[in-house]
Amino acid sequence: MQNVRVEKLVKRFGEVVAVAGISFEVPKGKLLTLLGPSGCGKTTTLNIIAGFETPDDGDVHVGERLISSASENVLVPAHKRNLGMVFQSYGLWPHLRVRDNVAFGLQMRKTPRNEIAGAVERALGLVRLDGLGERYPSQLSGGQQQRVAFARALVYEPDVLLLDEPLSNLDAALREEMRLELKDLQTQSGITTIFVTHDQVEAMVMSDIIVVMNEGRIEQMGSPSDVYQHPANEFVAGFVGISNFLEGEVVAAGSGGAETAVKVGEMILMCKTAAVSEGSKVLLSIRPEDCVASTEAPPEGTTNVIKCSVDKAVYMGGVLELWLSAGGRQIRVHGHRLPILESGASVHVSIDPASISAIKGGPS
Amino acid sequence: MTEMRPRSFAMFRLPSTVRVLEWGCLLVIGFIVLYPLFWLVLGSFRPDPISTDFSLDAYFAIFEEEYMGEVLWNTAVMSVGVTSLSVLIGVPLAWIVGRTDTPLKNYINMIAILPFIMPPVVVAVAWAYLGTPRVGFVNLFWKWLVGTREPLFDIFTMGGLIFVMALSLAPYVFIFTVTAFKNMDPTLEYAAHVSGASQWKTTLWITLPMAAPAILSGALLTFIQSIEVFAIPATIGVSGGIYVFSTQLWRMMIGIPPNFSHAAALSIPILLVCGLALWGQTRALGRSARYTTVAGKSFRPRLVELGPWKYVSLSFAAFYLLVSAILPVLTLIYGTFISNRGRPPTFEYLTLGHLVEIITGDGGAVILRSIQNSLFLSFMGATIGIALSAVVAYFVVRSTWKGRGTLDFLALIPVAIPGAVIAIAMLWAYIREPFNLYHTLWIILIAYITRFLPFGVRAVSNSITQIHEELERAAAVSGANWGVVFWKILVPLAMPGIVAGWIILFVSMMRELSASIMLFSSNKEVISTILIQLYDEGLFSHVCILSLIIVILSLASVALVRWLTKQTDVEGLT
Repeated sequence: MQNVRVEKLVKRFGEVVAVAGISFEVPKGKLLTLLGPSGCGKTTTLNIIAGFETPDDGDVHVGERLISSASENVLVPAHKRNLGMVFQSYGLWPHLRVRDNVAFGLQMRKTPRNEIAGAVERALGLVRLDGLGERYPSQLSGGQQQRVAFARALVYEPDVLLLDEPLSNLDAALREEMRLELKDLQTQSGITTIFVTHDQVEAMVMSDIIVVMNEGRIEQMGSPSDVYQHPANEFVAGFVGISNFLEGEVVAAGSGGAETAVKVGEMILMCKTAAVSEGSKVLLSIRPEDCVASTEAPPEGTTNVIKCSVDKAVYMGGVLELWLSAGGRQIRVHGHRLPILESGASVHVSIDPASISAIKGGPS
Repeated sequence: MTEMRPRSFAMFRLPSTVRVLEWGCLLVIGFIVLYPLFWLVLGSFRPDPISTDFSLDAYFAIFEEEYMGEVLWNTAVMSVGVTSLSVLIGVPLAWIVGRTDTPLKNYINMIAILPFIMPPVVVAVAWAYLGTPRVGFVNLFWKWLVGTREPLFDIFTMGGLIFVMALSLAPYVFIFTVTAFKNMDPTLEYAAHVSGASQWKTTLWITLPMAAPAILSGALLTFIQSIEVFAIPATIGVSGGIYVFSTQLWRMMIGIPPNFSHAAALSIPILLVCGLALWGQTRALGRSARYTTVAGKSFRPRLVELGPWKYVSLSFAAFYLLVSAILPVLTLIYGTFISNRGRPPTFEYLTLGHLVEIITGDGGAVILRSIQNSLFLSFMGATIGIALSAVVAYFVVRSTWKGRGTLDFLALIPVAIPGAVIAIAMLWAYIREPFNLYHTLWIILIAYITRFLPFGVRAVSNSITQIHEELERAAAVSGANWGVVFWKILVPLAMPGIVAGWIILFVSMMRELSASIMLFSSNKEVISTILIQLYDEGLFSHVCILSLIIVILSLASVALVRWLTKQTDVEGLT
């Protein structure tokens, strides 16, 4: 097991900069997710680590081993990097039986024949496919093919596992199931993993670290809760989950645990963010589910209460999705245990200061 | 989707053996395609192959010949006539199959494989027997039906030549057009209807214009083919005293002594015309791809309900199949088993005698030897050809190398070179040191490989394109080097395409005539050249037997190719 270090990686396709000098590290045994919209450079980054693309600049280390470096002219070919990979369409060889698909990597490593059989059995057992070794890939269901792909990638105990949107070809129900199964598999085997996806829920469920990418750059790197609760900028707040954005100006900077007061139009909102100076512009990001909507006014002295009128209310089962306006600003709120509201009705929204993130620098 | 070109080579960048292989491949293909062309151009400026003088004499000489104007005029009339008639036959047939509810459509669709089953040489001899004014079967039937002494038509005229050639080449227009019709988005036509256009106006203003690039593409290929095909002008044309470009080249080469430099000089302008047509054809094809939606969505094109008219469309298609395939094949069967030409096909006149006689009789040894030669050449040619094609196709489809485009282009060039011109170029190039291949089988072998290289490359690259690139990447990640990926993953997966390509090359070489006729020599005959000789000698039953063998062999290989390409699903698991 090894850690992976990516340093100042750059990749251009003609005029287009696909990866613009990014750096990150995957600690041993952890799962790091590259999350972002299509074209953000996440797949290119993965392909560079795998050895399918040649970077224009930057280094990649697996443990102490330098596998790719533009400055030192090192480019270990893909087949000598000792990585495991699961592809979007699985990439199972249709002309080989499941058993031979899984055994391939061991054969390439000149593992003795008698050991191969045992290792293949164990790998198929690990992914709960015992007894299907004689089948051809086309005789398996999508979920089973997916598991074969995992067994094939793990059987030779690679240093690092690379996952290229492996769940995107499954239907919704199966995808949910496989997410958890995958995470279990990864934790059990304790293998360092890099996972590429555009699905934020997948990223939340599976990752130890999320790297949010956009236009070849890293927008934010952190734990799932970090990224969700404290988005570093407007892009992250907008891409990961839904957010209300309110522009404001700091009127009283908080320090030593005190709350920061931000003036948004006529309103004053309190938030927990420190390290902003008085007078600076900020952008507040508020999650719809962090707002508590009520038809009755909360007790006196409750912080951050906004009186709003209902523009539109959509009943969605467990949640009432509300589009509200207050002082000329639109706010989206998830209401719980509320009567069906007509437009024009008035509601009180209260927001816990700890769940408001202030993004420095104001609107981008 | 150019920006999404596969980049699998990045993963093998370090071992430069791949780069060496790429360069090697480019040099080999460059040599076999360009070296003869170089000599052809040079040869047109020299009085004969031994001399090193440089002059324009050959060009002046051929255009001073009095017959040259007639030859060029004949060639132009024939090519334009054949192309127009092919469009008039091929486009309606494509519409019938692609967009109407005509019954038995699946059988009419067989037109697409007709050129492969019925090579021009077979159609040519069969129609020569069917259309002779005095004793041709069609004319005899006409005289009996109408009770006249006047024949319906004479096949040995310019009209007959165009008619037979269009029968043989119309399927090219059909194939391109039917593909466009089948891949058209039906909503485009619904939109026209909603806007108020009737069925016929929609067909005329929407459907046909959208298919226009495909039709043009098929027409240009037909045009090239009409210049290239030798068998039909050599039988029907020559019998009627009509000489065109290809038969004129032949006349120059069988003269004593053969006039190498005149033949070279005559080849150059024809080569330019064909090259121009091929350029236009690729452009039209590119445009066609933009008009029709091929990838992604799968939809059924909307079918026009013809009502009672569907019997008219069925009759049209049936009549085409009758004259282009059924009548010719019946003629060959008749000729194979009838004791004497002209006898009614009743039991008492049937015999198996000709089948024995063709081997035991005079010239049987020559026929056997020609079959032997053809088998040897086709086996060797198909094997070497497909091996070369596989490597070229692999580099063209999968490489990120800059030379990839050049390689692709080089391998396409032979499509634009008529077989007769390839032969002249071969003679100029390989007659001399260090090759000295004049009057050998080897020069025929090289000609075959060069001529059919584009077909081999296309067969293999179609099947490589269908192999998902992740299959190769998965192998590389698992620790397989370039060679292992090629042999263990790519070759097994592409095998159906490779075998199908081999069969296509084998059959094409077994019946090749336009180049063989210029290159064969005594003891070095091949089946097709013998067939033409037998035709000239008027040996009716022998010609029918050999032609029938070619048809049966072609039919069997079509069946085999279809079975093979359907056999394995190489698309992987997406």
